[in-house]
Amino acid sequence: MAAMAQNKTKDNRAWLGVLPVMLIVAFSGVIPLMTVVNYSVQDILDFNTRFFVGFEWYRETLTDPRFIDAFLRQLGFSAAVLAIEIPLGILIARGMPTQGLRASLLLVLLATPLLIPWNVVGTIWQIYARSDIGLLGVTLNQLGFSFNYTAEPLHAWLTLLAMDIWHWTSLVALLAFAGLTSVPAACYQAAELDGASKWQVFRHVELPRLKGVLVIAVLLRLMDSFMIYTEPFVLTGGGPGNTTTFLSQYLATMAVGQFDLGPAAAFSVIYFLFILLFSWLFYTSVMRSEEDS
Amino acid sequence: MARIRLHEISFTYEGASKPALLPISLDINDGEAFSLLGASGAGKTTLLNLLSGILRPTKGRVFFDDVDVTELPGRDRHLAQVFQFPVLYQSMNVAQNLSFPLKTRDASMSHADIHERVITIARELEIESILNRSANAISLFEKQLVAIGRALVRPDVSLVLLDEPLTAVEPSIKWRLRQTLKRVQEELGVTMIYVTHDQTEALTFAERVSVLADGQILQTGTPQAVYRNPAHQFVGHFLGSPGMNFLPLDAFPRSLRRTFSMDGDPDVIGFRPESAQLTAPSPELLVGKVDSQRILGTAQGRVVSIYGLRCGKEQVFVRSPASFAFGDEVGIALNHSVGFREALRVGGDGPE
Repeated sequence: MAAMAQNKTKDNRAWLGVLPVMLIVAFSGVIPLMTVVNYSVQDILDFNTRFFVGFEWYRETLTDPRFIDAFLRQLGFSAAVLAIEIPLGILIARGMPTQGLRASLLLVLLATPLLIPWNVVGTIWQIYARSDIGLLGVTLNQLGFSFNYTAEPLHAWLTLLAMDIWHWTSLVALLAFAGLTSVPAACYQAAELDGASKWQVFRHVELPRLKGVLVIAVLLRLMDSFMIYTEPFVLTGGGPGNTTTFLSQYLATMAVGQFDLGPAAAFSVIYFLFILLFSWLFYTSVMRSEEDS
Repeated sequence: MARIRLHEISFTYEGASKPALLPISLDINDGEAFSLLGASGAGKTTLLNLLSGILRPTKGRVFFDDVDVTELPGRDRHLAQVFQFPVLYQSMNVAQNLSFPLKTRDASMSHADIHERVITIARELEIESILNRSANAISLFEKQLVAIGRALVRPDVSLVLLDEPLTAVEPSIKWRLRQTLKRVQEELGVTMIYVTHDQTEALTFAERVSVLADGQILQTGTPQAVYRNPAHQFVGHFLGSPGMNFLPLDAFPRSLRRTFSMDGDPDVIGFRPESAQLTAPSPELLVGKVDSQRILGTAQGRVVSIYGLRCGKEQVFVRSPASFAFGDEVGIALNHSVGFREALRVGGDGPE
């Protein structure tokens, strides 16, 4: 017993070892997050005047029609992005050559959009889609479509979607490509001898082996598209009207534009929890179906 | 089931300077257990891929039951393959894996028929108890059994190719899987071609075996014939552990030389370690000096060893239950020997 107690005393010194890490995490993560939580339950009038308001800001945010609209727009945008980018990425990956110079060139080409900063992507498309001087906008108008993303909500949406697909499909394609290269040749050969159709090869040979990378691709694209800010800010500025105002932009208007710190903090917490919830729901449902099968 | 006939097929990989397979002709009987044996790089896999339709021969034709299948893709040849590691459809359970090849092509097969066939095969391989398990949740051994089951499940399968199917399985259960394979092959009467570099697997599985080296078939015959009377020095060397002993003719005493020379004028004489006896040295016998001993085990209460003996510059190995000390001079009496001239067997020595 005495020896054990002695051991325990010695072990306690280990806490000193992890102390720097705890300090860094607290300083850079926990305290800022808790500050936001702290703000979210107070009404802040100026530096010295504040009242505790409980969950008032949460109630207000969740019943705010502009928040609900932005939230629904956000859901629609993320759903559309996932519905297009994931299948398209897989399709591109399946069509890629697996070796040789062409494969290397294609990989570099695919990676290029991922290296461009968000605001530059926004600027590129802002100019590219303009109906007066942009290549895309002018071409579409020349072809007889009256295209104007600054005035037509539908056009603004399509432009935003096209931009996101242009920017991020590569990520899905690269992940899927990495997954596909790990499928052993014998698996294709066995399926061929079994008489499997192209669809069956995809469904039963490729998809099960792509599952891991696709879960990562969906999670990354879900979180990223749900938090999208810079590109629509540069491209449409949330307009026309509020039709492309997503959650992050509404939040920025509130926090930075109007300096409503309390409501903005409550908004942030809700926003954070939603992303956490969606990711968790998706991840556990995928993992559960794995256990079932 | 089908009779397989390879007619003068050869194959050269694109851009390769020399052919991977020299013209080969081979007949495999309906329902035969056949084995292709050779070291890696001998052309086994190339030959296998030519059979399964992954590769097309540069020259020559492939016939299944007198039907020319040379240009047919693999899926239309009605064959199945078992690979080095178990290839299963991960998203399906064992029963779905087994029924998959039946569902892809033959739409006329009823649900009940498919079920019955799956049960038959599962019973044959003794995997009925795991039919409802996920393909991911079974042992490697069971996975390979399921892969074999999937290869056998189609009633119209004409040929099953086995590409070193025991590689991934741990040694302790290799014999069990080999036993199962052999039994299933006999009971279902499926034509099987077993490709391996392991002589034990080839010789215990096959009714006939072909030994390949450098893109050529050196010999085809029953395991006994190939082992006892190798047609090429490489075959004698490759089979057996240790392999056949080879000595130049002039290493033997004159009386023996004369006897050997009467049978086809060989330049090298080969004999197996177990087809010689060690006795007292005499001028009539090949004489060697004991320089190593490896104990194999006991037989009928006597210790059996493999002795390494030095005969001039050469070393030979002889199995013997007698006991000798290092440096002893012993006579080596041959019970059975094979003569070679320029590496090829000469002289008649019984039927092949």
